[in-house]
Amino acid sequence: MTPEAPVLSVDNLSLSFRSRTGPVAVLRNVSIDIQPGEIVGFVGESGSGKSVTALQIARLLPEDQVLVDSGSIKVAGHDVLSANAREMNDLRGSQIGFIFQEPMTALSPTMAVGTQLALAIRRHARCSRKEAQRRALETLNEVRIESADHVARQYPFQLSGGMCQRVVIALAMCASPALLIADEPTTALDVTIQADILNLIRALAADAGTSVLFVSHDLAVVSELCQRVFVLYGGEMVEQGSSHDILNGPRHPYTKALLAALPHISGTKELQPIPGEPPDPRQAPAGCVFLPRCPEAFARCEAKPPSFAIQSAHTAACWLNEQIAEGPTDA
Amino acid sequence: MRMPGVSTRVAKATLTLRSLLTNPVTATALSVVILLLLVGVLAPVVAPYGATSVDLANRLAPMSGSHLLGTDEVGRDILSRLLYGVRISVGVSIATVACAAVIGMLLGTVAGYFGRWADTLIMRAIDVVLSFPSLILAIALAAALGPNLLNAALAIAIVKIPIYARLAYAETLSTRQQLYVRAAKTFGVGNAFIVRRHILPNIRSSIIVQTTLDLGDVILLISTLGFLGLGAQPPTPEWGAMISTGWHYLIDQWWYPTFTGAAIFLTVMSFNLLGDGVRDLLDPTGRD
Repeated sequence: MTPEAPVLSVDNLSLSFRSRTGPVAVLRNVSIDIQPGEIVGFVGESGSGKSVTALQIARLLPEDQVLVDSGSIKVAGHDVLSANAREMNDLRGSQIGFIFQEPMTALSPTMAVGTQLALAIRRHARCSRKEAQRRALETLNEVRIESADHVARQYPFQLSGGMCQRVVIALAMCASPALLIADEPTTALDVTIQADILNLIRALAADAGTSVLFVSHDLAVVSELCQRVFVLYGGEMVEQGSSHDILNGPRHPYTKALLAALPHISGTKELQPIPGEPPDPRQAPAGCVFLPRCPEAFARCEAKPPSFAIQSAHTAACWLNEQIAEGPTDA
Repeated sequence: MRMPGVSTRVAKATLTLRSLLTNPVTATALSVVILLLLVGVLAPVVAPYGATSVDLANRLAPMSGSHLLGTDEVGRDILSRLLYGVRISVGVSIATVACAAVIGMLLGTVAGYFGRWADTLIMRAIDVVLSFPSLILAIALAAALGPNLLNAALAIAIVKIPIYARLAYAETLSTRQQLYVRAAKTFGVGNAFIVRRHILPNIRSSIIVQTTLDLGDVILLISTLGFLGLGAQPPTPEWGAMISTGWHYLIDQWWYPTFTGAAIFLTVMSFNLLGDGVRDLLDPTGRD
């Protein structure tokens, strides 16, 4: 098999927000790549920049407040950062699908969900109203909504959170996009429904050949769903690798701390919160971004660590890996 | 799949009407308004005489079987003139409010949605209009445009635009921040689509409430301009203009200005009460 072009490649993206006191760097040299059909986790705590990255991939951040300092974003071969407004609108929906955290508010309260779905379908497919309505029903069936005919006539407030999220997924997937960005899609849902939604996303992505960027702070969910994981901290990529490697052999103290902070169902192990607070983006650190909170910090950490390759696909930006690694990779 | 179509809309309208009728005050006001609209449309049928048919032998006649509310200074039947007057007072008011609402809503939505210079330009202009007392501005505009009914309506529409613009502006600002508006952008829809499908349906109900509340006020303004001679000109049977000539006869022929005033009073009050009812209906949180 010939290696295919990645569906998403974010290359060395650095991003700042304008503020009254000057630009504030929110992302520094973030690189992500997603191969066709891959489901990739994007993990980090609140404020780490994961949502900002996700939004910028679809250029949904307010343009007048964002400064792209360096880097590029390519989705299915299209250069996102240089696209004009019209090209961008054509990419959204057809190449990039988006699922949000709050399904109830992601749907318009003034329209029946079937109507919204039909409108979304007609945006990217030239077809009659009737045809769009028929396809809307099909799509609702695909997201495993029973009695789609009935649900299509309901307004969002008449549906449960899980139902709404299914509709939102149907909306995002209706044009079979190359890339689906799911921004914490299960956070607002009951645990029992979470598994259903995760399975649904996995099944739909496999059917449509869609790649998924799964944004979450929940390592348990990510390890369940994703083949590879990217760990973001303070606007920098600290570790990346296969889910298996990251969960079983984390190489960055932040990832270790994140795993230690996971609740265990047995309840025998006490939760270990990460001491300190997330870095203030207004004060860019000279050295390692995790230094102030790192339990394993040493003198080397005053300098910014490069990304060390532990194995071929497992890299961590931490000086602790200097000896093990074959040498720094410039990721 | 059946999208919400005609039958659901009819069902919804019936439901709305039924809830309106549960409040006796609103129900009464609604009946009066409907009656007025009917009378306005059917004026040539229900009025016993023409609006301008002069009968000089019968000047300032008191109430009688042949002239239920008497006659005016040139012998025209007052009841007939009042009935024809509905067309002007109510009809012109509805048109005026509709104009003001549509224009104001457009301006406010554009300012709120696109922001920046559109916001500054439109909302500052609106502030200028708002800084004048509305009646004074309407009088000045009507006088400047020249005294006739169309100009009076135009002046009042201009005076009323800021309320709708402000309302639409505020609602647009909050609606455009909603997740579903941002979500819509992820499907690659343009601004026009978002405004039409997401913003306007959300601001519609508050605009409708404002129009019903405004109708009474606008009827009063039309009458005021008519009374001052800046609105409809004689022999048009406009209520304000009728009072303007009628008040001279208040002592000896009291029925002339009194019934005309009563017509204005009844109409304005009915529209106001109906407006209150509609507001309560569409805004359940505002209920006492």
